[in-house]
Amino acid sequence: MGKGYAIAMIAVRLLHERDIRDSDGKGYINGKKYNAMWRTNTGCRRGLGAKPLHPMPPLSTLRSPVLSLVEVGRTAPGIREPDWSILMARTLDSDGAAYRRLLEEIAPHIRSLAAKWCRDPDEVEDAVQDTLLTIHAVRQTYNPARPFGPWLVAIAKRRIVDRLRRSGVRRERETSLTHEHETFPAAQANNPAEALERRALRVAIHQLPIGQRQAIELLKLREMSLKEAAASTGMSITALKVATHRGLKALRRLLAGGEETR
Amino acid sequence: MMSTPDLIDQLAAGLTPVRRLRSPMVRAAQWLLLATVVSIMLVIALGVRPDFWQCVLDQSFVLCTGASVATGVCATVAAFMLSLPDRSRAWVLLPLPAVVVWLSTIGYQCLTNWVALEPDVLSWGEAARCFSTLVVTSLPLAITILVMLRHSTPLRPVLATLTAGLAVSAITATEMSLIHNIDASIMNLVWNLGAAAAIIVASGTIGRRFMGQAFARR
Repeated sequence: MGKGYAIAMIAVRLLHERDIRDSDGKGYINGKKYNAMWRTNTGCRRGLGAKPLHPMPPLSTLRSPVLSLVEVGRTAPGIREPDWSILMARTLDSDGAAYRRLLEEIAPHIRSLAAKWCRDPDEVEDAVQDTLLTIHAVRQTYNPARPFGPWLVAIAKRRIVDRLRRSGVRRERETSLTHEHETFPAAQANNPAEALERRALRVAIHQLPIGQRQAIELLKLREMSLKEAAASTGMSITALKVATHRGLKALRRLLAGGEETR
Repeated sequence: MMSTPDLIDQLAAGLTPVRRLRSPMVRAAQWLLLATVVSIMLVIALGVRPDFWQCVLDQSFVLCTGASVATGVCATVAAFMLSLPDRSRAWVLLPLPAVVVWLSTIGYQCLTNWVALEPDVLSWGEAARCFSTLVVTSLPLAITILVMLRHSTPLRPVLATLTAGLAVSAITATEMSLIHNIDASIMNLVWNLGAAAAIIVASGTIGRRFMGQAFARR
């Protein structure tokens, strides 16, 4: 009994020491193992990423408290790079500040990852936001005992591929609008060529003698009858007919002359 | 469109506590335990097949049942592994050897007798009874595993759902081989993998909308 108790105590002590000891880049907080090192394996190498995004020094170089694990100087003095694994572990404990910091720090990395595949800056930003939303939705699937890098890259890769697939389908089915496709409520605004012709006609009518101009405006533009036009102008019907005939002939000449002079 | 910093603010402000998922092996073990309990209850409720003890001595029966159990276990582990983003896609190959052995030993008797043509009476054949037993046994298992794998929806829905369908098929086939004296494995596979395919198609068409709503709620 006494011997068993002694063995048990030694085992407890060893486990306790394991909690505060560090080895091969892993830290232990309250018995949970946290990876303090970016492994450049699995997702990074096989997937999208190429470089280790965030190497961490062995924990032996760190000060002991938990906070010093989070905000620890890395390769160069003065640079404070938190360990995303630990930030994520703290996120799972509902630490909003750690979560905000994590998202702010990973967003540029996701952006650079997405920029390799998406050319459109809007697409890149959409991929970043999709990835952040997915991370939020599946954050409980992260295991703090495992490296954060492959988890992040796998999610980002999935979202980028989805976005590329969707945009490919959209490109096949849809045509983006150009200025020529733009329309306005006013009918005359939708045909610029017609508007130009109308303007040229108006200029030509203004060049006609007053009698012919009146006859054209009343009979052809306002579509009055000969009787109405005669009453309106005081001209005889025969004079109106002659003025209209001459006016149309002159207009034809003026408009044709305009084209010839081009 | 919301800017990324605004989105980060919103996500951080709306952070709610979540329960960490247990390891995939533990969750696979939990589901397999549930499957075992369901199998035991079925055997108690319906009794073992009449020729069970003769079958135990039959090598092909033992091989088929062993392969279906192995397929079920491997496919369950694979499904739970595939539901996590940082696990390799190669887990999908885990059940492959067991599936090959299982498929090489199964029969198709239950597919051949849907309607019994007896004199004066047209009644449901053995296939229909077999199918109803199949649905009753596989449905609780399928629902449970899909609920447990719901986190895989935004990640690898097709692979996770298909391996889950395979796991349910294999486990149900094992249950059926204990209580049912006609081999229903092919029908079982068609039913469960068909259901898995239907779920995949449904999640492809309407799942994104649900996923969007889930994101909006979070």
